[in-house]
Amino acid sequence: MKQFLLYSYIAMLFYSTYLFVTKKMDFSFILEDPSFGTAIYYTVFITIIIITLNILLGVITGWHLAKQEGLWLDVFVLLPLVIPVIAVMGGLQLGLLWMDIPDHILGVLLIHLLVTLPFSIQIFRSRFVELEEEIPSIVRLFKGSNITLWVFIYFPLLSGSLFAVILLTTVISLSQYAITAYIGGGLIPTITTLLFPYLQSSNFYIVHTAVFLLITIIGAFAVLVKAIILILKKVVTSLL
Amino acid sequence: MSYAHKLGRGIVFSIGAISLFAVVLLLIDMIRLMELIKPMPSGQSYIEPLSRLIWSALLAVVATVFSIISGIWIVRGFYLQRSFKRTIDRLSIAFYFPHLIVALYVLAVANFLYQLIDFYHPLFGFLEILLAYWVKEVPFVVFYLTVTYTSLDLQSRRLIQGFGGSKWQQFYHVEWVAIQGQVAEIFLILFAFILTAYEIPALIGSSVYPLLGPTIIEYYYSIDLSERFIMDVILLAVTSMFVLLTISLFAWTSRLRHLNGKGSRTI
Amino acid sequence: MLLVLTGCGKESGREAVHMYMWGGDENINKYIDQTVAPYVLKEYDIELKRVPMETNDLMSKLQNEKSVGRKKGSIDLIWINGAAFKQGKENDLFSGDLVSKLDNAQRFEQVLLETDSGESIDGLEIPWGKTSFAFQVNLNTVQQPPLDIDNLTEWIENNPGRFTYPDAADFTGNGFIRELIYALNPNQLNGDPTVEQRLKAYAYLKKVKSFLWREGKDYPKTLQQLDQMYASGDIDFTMGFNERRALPFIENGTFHESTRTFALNGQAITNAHYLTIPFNSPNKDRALTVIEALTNYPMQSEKLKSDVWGDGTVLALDQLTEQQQQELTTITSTGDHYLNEWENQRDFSAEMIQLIEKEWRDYVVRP
Repeated sequence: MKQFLLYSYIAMLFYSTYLFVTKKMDFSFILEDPSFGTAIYYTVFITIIIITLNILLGVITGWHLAKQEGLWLDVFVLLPLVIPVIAVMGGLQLGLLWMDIPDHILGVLLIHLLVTLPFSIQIFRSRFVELEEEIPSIVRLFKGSNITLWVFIYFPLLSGSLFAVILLTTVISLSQYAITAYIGGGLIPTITTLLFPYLQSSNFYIVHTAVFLLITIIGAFAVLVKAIILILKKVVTSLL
Repeated sequence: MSYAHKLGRGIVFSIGAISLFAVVLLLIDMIRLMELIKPMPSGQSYIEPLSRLIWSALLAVVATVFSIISGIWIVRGFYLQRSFKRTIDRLSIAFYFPHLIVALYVLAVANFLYQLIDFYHPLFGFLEILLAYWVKEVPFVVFYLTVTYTSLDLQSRRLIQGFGGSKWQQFYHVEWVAIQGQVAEIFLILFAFILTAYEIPALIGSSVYPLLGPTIIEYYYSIDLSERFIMDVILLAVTSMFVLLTISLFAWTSRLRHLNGKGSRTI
Repeated sequence: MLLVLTGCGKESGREAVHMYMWGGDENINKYIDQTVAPYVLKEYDIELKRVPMETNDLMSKLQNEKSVGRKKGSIDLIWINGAAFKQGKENDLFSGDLVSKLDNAQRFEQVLLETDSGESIDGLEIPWGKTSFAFQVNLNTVQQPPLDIDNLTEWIENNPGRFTYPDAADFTGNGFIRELIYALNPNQLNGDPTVEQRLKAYAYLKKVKSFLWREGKDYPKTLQQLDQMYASGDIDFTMGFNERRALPFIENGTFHESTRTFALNGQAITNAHYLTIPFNSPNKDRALTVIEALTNYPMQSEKLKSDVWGDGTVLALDQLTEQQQQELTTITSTGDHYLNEWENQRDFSAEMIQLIEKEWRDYVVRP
């Protein structure tokens, strides 16, 4: 599967290079857009905040849910996934208007968090359930502090889930066209709101360019995250 | 209860409460619209969106069941061969593609195939969507079920085998018992998502019955306020149905866990 | 971070004029960003920002803001068409009579100031551009293009799978059916068509259905899909509002050079598109100045250029100077691009357009 995707991406890369050399494909439509700079800025900003919140809140909640069970806990975690996003979006749009903060980045952050956090919680929860329950008491037995527990024990053990959460969060957040555009009132441009209209362009080459850019961004990001986690893991284990 | 536990609980309730609150706002919007719309929409005007809802629900059920069955089959297959860990990792990469891009790929492949076989049937539109969701959701199911399968006790399986139980009996008594709660949960998540998702049916599918996702956008942002009202009613009905389903699902699984003693609830 | 959250990218002092408009056409976007924005900055010291958003969505946004009484909105200027105009007028979403505030309302073609899709305008919106519904055909594959309905029928039946039109939920697909109603009821229409007149069109579409692309069992979802199929040579016709739409596409290589444009039966539904200011715009005066700039000769003639946008002008020819008239004639000359000439026809009302979509699905698609 991975090979297949890699090969098709390489094929796409060749095709794109061919189009680029023959001048059928160019990036001017996106580079010349005056909100390009702002869009990159907002995309990076939103992604960083959402990833940070997802990790912090996801780890705490996942850990909590792995230890405690309850009917209402289960129901409430699932609600954002089960209620149609458009219904939540419509209501939220009105709510933000009443609170007099429409078209604000706070609303965008909130709705992005709402659609990503349940997944992060589930991922962390399942990992914590999988882990030995005795880990904390063993660490205590050896007089390890909480920092030792989280940095040296849980971080390496959770690194797989961490990678999944970061990537999934980014992808979900990057593919939310409708909710970003509506809640942001068009004033919070992101790479997605910029590229999405071009996915339905009359010009096939522009569609191709937009898809190519989105895939490249996600792929490059995945590699980057994997590298960072790997390096951190190396650093942490070398400190032991 | 420790501070961290309280925080965790607080987060869970907040995200649920915000979603519910947004829906309550939708209800207020509906009441407000009632004053604005002069003739209220007749019962007849509900027929078209409702028929699209039913059609979409049908598709969503098929796509969900299909994805879950293939997901279980893949997890078992790789699990029993004991090399599944790496394969699962490879598979999970499809998980990381936006729906829209999957839809564009399916569209391209489908157009190519139709030209090759020089034939088209309206059912193909249905199949295109099915394929797109299948590609996108199977990794999700696999991802979700992997943990349960790793913690599954295979001894009891051998026991049943020893007593001459059939393959189906092995599956049913050992695995199904362990995963049924989770399968129900996945079913709910996928069904709810596919029923109202916008991106895939906006690009592919047939003109005969447009699916619910684009219809919601079309009605909710319609220039005709009575259409928005109709969509508010439908959205609220769908939401209440899902909330009730979720509650009964977990009521059922928690009873199940109770019956099974300590239970193997994961994820 | 707090700075970002509170600042939200808005510099105090000189606020930009936010123009909300549909953003799916790179030529139109370029025209606003690279021609209009520098122009208003230079001439009037106004910063113009384009915000891409579907018309229906921004109308719904205004509707919400109206209902919670938001006095200071974020939208200063919108690009609008008939259906949305009717909704806005009924719900008081516009800022009032704009035409009387303009320097010179005489410069417009006066008929454009009267009604928009059958709805009286009352000065609430100002015409920006004017387009006719036209078909594009590839002369390489269609040597003798069918210019009237009988020839078209014959051509479709002789060339199965080479013609189709977008789903009626699409703006253009719906326009095609309206165009067909005109073609099948010559000289009989005055205002909205009757049931019998519409049924003729549906019966016709049912008759040719099996000769269409995918035997009429599926239709392209959007005009853009139709255009892509046309560009790749899967079909031989495309269509759309704006008779000059093919020119920029030929220029940038999307369409074949042998693409030509015609109007079916020499009749073309013509509709104007408009600009207006919402009730809660925070910069009404400057938005009006931008409208002034957009509807004055320099920007109108620029917009008309086929390598820019190719959108028709709303200015009355007899109000222009001799030199300007000549310039316009040079710009509008399209060489041999048009295969025929046409008469402009009035568009139907917004309700009729919605009704046609529903009826099309019932009568034509679902047998």
